[in-house]
Amino acid sequence: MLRFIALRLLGALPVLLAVSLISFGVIWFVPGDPVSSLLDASATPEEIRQVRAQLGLDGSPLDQLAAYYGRLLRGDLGQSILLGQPVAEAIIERLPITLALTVLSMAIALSSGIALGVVAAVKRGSRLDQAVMGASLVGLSLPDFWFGLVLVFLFSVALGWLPTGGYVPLTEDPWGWTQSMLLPAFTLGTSQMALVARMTRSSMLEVLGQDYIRTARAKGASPVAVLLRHGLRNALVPVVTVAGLSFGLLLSGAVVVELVFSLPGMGRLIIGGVLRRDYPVIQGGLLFSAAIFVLVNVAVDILYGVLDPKVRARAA
Amino acid sequence: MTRHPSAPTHSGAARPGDDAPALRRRTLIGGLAAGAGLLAMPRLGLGQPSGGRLVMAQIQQPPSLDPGVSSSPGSRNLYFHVYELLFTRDETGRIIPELARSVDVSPDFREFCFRLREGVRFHNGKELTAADAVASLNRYRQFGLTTALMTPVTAMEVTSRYEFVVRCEQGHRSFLFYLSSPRAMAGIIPEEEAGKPRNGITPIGTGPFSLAEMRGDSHVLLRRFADYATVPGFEEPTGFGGQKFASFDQVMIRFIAEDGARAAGLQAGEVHVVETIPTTVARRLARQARVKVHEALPYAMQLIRFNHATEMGRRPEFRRAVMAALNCEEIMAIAFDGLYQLDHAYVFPGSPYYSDIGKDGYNKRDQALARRLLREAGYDGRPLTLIVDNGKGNNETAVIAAQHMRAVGINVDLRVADYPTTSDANKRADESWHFWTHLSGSEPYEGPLSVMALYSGPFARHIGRTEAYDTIADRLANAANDAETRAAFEDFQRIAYDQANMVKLGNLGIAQATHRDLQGYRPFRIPRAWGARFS
Repeated sequence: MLRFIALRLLGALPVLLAVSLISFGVIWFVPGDPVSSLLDASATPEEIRQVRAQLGLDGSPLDQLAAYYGRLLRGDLGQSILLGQPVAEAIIERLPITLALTVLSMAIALSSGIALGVVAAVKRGSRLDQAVMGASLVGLSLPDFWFGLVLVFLFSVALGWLPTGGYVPLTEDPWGWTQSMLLPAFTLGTSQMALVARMTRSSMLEVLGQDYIRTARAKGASPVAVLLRHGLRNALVPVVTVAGLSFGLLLSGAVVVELVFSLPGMGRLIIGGVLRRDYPVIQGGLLFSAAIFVLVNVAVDILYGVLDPKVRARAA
Repeated sequence: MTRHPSAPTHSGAARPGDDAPALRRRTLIGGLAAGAGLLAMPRLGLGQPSGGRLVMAQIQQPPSLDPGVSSSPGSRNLYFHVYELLFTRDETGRIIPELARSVDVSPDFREFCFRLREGVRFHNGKELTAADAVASLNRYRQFGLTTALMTPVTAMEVTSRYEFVVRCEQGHRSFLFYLSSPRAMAGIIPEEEAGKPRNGITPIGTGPFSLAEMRGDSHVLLRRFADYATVPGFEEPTGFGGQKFASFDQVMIRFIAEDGARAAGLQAGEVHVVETIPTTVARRLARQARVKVHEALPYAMQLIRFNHATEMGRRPEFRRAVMAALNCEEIMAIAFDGLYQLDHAYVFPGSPYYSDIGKDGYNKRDQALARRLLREAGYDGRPLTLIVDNGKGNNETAVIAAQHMRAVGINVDLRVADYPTTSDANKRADESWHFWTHLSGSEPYEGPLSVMALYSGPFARHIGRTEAYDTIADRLANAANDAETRAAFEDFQRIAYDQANMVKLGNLGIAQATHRDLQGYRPFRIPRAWGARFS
C-alpha cells in the first residue's frame, strides 16, 4: 500500500509542474496588470510606468520565469503585490477557513445525503421516495449564490438567528465561529447533499438486488444488518468516488459562497488575485489548489482500498 | 520672502477654490477659527464620544495602506481616517488647512513657507514636526502617484521645529492644489517611517483613528485616537477635513463585495454604514424604518472618450456626429437607475467655475444632424470598437450609447471586459479601439486644473494634444486670480464642446445607506466615520 501511495504521489509531480507552467504562462496572455488596481482611470502613463517599475513588472517574461522557478525551488511562492505579504503566508491564513467550510459542507452533504438516499431506496416508489428525489433535484438546481442570499434573508435578516456574513476565528470564539460557518456550509453542502442522495439511492437499489443480499436475508440477518453491513457498505464505493469529486467541487464552489458570506478564505484570495491581477497570488493559489486536488484524489484511491478488498489485493 | 496674506488665493491652491476663505483667513490669522463662520451647518452635539463600534461596509479591499501609492477608492476610504494632509479639501473641493497652520507663498511661487500646527501627535505618541512633513514629502517624491506635486520641487529645508520651506526652480502655482488633492493623498507620516520601502511602513498617521488590525479579504479595525488634535476653527466636518470629531471607540471597515450581502448586513443591524449600494436596492431599503438612504449626487461625471489615434477619432465631424446622436437623458436614466443629473459642465454645480458655456451642444438628440455630420466625416460604415469594463453603470452606458450610434448608422462593435482588461486596452493609443466609456469623479470635484489634466498633459494620450488645450492648461496653472481661472475654464469648455474630444453624458450619483441608530452622518465622496454618533 505504501508503494501504491508513493507511486500516486510521484505521478502527481508532472501535474503540479504543468499547473505551475500554465499559471505562469496564462498571466502573459491575459490583458491587464496589478497597476489597474492601484491606480484610477485617470492615471497618467508616467504614473503607470513608475508603478510598474516599482512592482518589478517591467522585466522580460524569461527573467520573470527564471525568478519564479527559482523561488519555487526554495519553497517560496513569492510576495503578493497588493496584499503586502508573502503568498504562502496569505494562503496559510486563509486555508483553514476554506478547509473548515469544505469539510463542514462535506459532512452535511454526506451525512444527510447518504441517509436520505438509503431511505429513498428502502421506500422505493413511495411518496417519501418521490419527495426525497424531488427535493434533491431542486437542491441540485439551486445556484449557491442565490440560495445563500435567500438563507441570509431568512435566518439573518428576518429571524436574526445567524450573522449575515463575516468570519469569527475558532480560537477566539467557538460559538461565534459555529454561527459564522453554519449558513455558508449549508449553502455549499446542499447541492452536493442532493447529488450524494441520488447516487446513494441508485447504488443502494442496485446492491439490494444482488444475490448476496438475498443470501444474507436467507441466513436470518436482521433487516438493519442487511441494509447497513451488506447493502450500504457495498453501495458506498461509487458514493466515495462522487465524494472525492464533490470535495473538489466544494473547494471551487467555496469561491462563490465566500463572496456571498464575506469569508476571507482561499476562494476570495484567488478570485481577488485574478480580478486585481495579483500575479504571485494567482500562481501560488492555483498551484496550492492543484496540490490539494491531487492529495484528495490520492486519499480517495486509498479509501477504495479500505472499502474494497479487491483493490487492496491488486495494490499488494 | 514677504508674507502674503492673499498668497494662497494667487497660488495653485486657488485652482478649485481660489477664494478659499478658510485658507486665506488662516493665513492671515495663523490658523485660528476661520471655518467657524464658514460652515453654517447644524450642530450635532458631538462634544462627547458615543463609544461603541461603527461598522462600515465597502466593496473593495484597500490595495495599499501606504498613503500616496494608491488612488483606488478602497484605499482612499481608509487613508482619510488614519492620515492627514497639510492642506485638504472641503465639501466643494476648496482647499482648507489641516496639519499646516499657514503657508506663505513668495510672489513668484518659488518658495512656500509652511508653519505646522503645534501639539499634533502621531498615533505612536510622537509630536508632529517639520522634519516629519519634509520626510513625508520626500517619500511622496519617491513613491507618490501625483508626480506633478514634487517634480518641480528642488529643495526642502527645515527652518524650525514647526516650520519648513519648499523651494522650486520655477514658479509652482499648482503646488498647494496637488498637495491637498485627495486622489492619491500626500499623507504625513513620522520621519522614521518615511524611509521605509513601498508598502513597508507601519501605518501611523495623525488622523482621528489609528490602525488596530488588518485582516486581508475581511476587514480593517480602527481605534479612536484619544490624543487626536482637531483642526481649530471648524465646528463641523467638511469634505475630507474640518472638525473630525471621532465619536466611536472603534471603526471596523468590512470588505463586502456582494451588493445583497451589504444590504443584508445593514438590515440585520450588523453594518451601520454602506459605502455604496445599487440604487434599486437603496429604494427598497428606503421603505424600511431601520435604514436611512443617502444620495451623494453629483459623485462623478460619465464620459465617452474618443481615441484620436484612429482615423475616425481624429475627425471632428465624426466626433460631433456621435455627440449629436446620443440621448444623454435616456443613457443616464437607465445606466444609473434614475440617480443622475443632466449637466453639460465639466465641474460640478456649485463650483465657482461652473458655466453655461457648451450647454447648447449638450444632449442634442438630433439624428438628422448626426447623419449629416457622418457624411461630412466620410464615415464608410466600417466597424468601430467601443470598449468598456463590466462595472455597473459603465456597461449600461456603453450598451445604450452603442444603440444610439447604431441608429444613425455607426457600426459599433461593443467589447466588454473586466476592469484590468479594459484598463490595459485604453492605455494603448492604437487602432484597437475607437471609443471608451468611463466615469471621472475626482476631476470635476477638484476643479479646472484636474479637469484639464484629462485634456492636456500625459493622460491626454487619447485626445491627441492640441495647442489650444495646452494653452488653456498653462493659463489655468498661472492664473493670477479667480477671474482669470474662470475665463480660462470657460474657454476650455467652449473648445471642448466645439471639438467634441469627449462626450459628457451627465453627472451620476451613488446611494449610501446607514442604520437608523447612526446620527449626523452626511453622504460624501468617502464614507466618514467622524462627525457621526450612535443615538
